[in-house]
Amino acid sequence: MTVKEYNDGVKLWTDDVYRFAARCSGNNTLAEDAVQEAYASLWMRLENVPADKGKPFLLTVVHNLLMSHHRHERVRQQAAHLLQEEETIVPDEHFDLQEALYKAMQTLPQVQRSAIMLKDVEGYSCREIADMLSLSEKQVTVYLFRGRVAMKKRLTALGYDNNNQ
Amino acid sequence: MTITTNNYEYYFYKYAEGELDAEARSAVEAFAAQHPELAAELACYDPALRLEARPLRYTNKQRLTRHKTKTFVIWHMAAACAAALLIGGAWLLHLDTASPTEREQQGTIALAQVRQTDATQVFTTPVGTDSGNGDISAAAPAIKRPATPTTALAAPEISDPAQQHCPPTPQQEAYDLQTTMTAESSLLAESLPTAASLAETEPPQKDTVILYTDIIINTVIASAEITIEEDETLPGGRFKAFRHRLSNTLRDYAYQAYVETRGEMLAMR
Repeated sequence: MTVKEYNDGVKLWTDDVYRFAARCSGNNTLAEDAVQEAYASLWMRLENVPADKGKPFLLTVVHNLLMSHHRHERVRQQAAHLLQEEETIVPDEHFDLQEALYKAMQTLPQVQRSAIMLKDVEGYSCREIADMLSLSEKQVTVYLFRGRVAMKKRLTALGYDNNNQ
Repeated sequence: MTITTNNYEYYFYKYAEGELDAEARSAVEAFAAQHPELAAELACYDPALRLEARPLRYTNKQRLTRHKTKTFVIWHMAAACAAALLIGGAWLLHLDTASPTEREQQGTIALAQVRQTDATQVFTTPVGTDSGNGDISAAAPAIKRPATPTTALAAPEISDPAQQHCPPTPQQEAYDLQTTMTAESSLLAESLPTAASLAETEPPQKDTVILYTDIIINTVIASAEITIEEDETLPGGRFKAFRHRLSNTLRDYAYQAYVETRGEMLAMR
């Protein structure tokens, strides 16, 4: 990857990488730090990363950073505490399904969040996700299945059913 | 395809996403019928529940951009400045530490190296080990005494004044050379460290002695060659023999100087 391709990538990929980090972590400050770390890592390996692999590389670095943060900061406990406060929210006509989905996603383990984000939002295939997360394709499908089931259960607990759509 | 409780999630996902053929779908449905508790998970899976890509903008993108070329220029400039400072500092340090005598000797060595003859090769032989008991002859085997000691030539008597304008005889020539060599050696031997100065610092090491000897011999040979090159009466073959004889003579002088200096030092202890 050349310097020009790197700078072009900053314009093209940063929003997507930041969205991935912010949605997965639920913390915009942490997401900004992760994006900066990812681009710094990409700059250090500029000659070893092809231009077409720049965005997957950034997403992988962000995922690894969030995994590390998840282990050390016990994000799951914070998210669970957050959702306990939201248990009292009653869905109404202004119920935002996507917002509820994103909040439900915060209860998932980091690897499931990353897999779902990369599949649904970024549009990668299971094979590509497996490469980015250093998993097998089968593991990715299992994480996707578990994540979606858990999200559905979370929404159901919030009072969502298919008629609310 | 065998669906078990260990891999059912993979097939449930494929089933729910519609990625299985008819046979596989039947197998999944049969497995779900056999495991109602797991079938609940399949029923809970809703492929329509997908996250949508909601835009989220990252500010300060400009801070993420880089300019490698400028960085390289700065690095190159920094490296060039560091190299210039290093070379300049080393040069100044060398000027400060080198005394005028050392600089003169360095210049002499350079001149002598240009005119280096085969006579210097005798001083590059390995140096023997010092026994440490003051045995000087064992300590300096590299400086060999000639098989036949050099003896001072008697000044030829010139009885006839007319002969003073004739070409010098070989005896007269040899006498002049020895006189010149003795004068040169005496002059240059003054640059050798004295016994007193060595006693104040450290014993004369064999390597140091050989180095000084080398300097002196090269200087003498160089100065002698300058004089002899003007003598057209000396054939080329004799010129080479002269250099060999001169180096042997000077080697003898160096050995004597080494013995005397070391003896004086040991006596002072």
